Amino acid sequence: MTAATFIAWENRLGKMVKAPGGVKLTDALDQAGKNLDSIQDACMEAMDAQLDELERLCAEGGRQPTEEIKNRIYDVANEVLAVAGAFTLSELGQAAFCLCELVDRLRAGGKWNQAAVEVHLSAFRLLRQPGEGADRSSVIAGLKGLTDRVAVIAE
Amino acid sequence: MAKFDPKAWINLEKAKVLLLDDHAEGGNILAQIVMGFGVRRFMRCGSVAEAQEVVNHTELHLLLVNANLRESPAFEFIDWLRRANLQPNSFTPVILITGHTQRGAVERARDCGSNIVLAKPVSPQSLLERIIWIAREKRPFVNCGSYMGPDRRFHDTGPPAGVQGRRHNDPPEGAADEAVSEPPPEPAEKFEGGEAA
Repeated sequence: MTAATFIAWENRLGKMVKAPGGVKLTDALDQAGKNLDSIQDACMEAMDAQLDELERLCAEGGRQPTEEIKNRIYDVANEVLAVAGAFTLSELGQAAFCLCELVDRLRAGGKWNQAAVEVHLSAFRLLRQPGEGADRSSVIAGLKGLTDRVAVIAE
Repeated sequence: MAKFDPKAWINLEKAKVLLLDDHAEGGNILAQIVMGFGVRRFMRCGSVAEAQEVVNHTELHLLLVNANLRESPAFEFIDWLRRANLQPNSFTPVILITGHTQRGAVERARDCGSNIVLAKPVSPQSLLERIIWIAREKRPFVNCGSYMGPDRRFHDTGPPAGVQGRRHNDPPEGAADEAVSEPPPEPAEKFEGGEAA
């Protein structure tokens, strides 16, 4: 077993952030929010195209998709997660996380479940619309429960 | 969630920040947030090879790395960075940004040498908190052969249960529970940043 060696380092970022000048933290947050607003439409358009791609992949893969299609579904769902949650579609982001978990566990188990994936994609369309309420939370809870049940069978 | 002191400032005008992300929209989101914080020198890379090229030629202050790269594992890039013996970049803070992490990859995410992990979706608040946390970072780097990066022990509680310690001040195996020291205080919520020019 190799002994641990400790190495001191200079935190150059720490020195830099304290230098005179810069912006107030509150202004930095405001500006970052405005910057995000400026790309929201483009991001939503790209995300909608990814939702379409997920449906196409699911249909194309059928009951026995190739590993390539499974991996692509996983990657695209991960990208939906990154975008949706950044633009107040947090439930859609959670649903996308849930699909990632489902695909990951189905891949590991070696048994695919097209119906369970399709349920997720239907939920995506519902949650894509802005809104609030207990119904949306129960959709997420339902997806998590479904993923657990299906994955246990597959494993 | 930490509340920021409205009087605190942060100066990132001269910071050189590298973003490694091959997802267009995810990368755009991070770029817009970071530029909102005042970063002007921002290098965006869509592949590990591109990022390695930048790391080899530019002194960086911060790296933001998407863990879910399609083509090649982000973990391997960070591990390479830590072991590349590049001064000062091998010690530059890294924020690893994760979406869903595949089974079997959780330990690799922990052990690749990043300073901190940030879960998606990323918000301005969550990213700014992590940058401020890293700016206060004082943990030394550790090289123990199998790992090179910031000390993974945030609190000195000795080696994991059942594992023989590798540090000179580690207690003998089995005695770790008796050697637990007091953890350091939690970081203050207020960032004592710089002052207006």
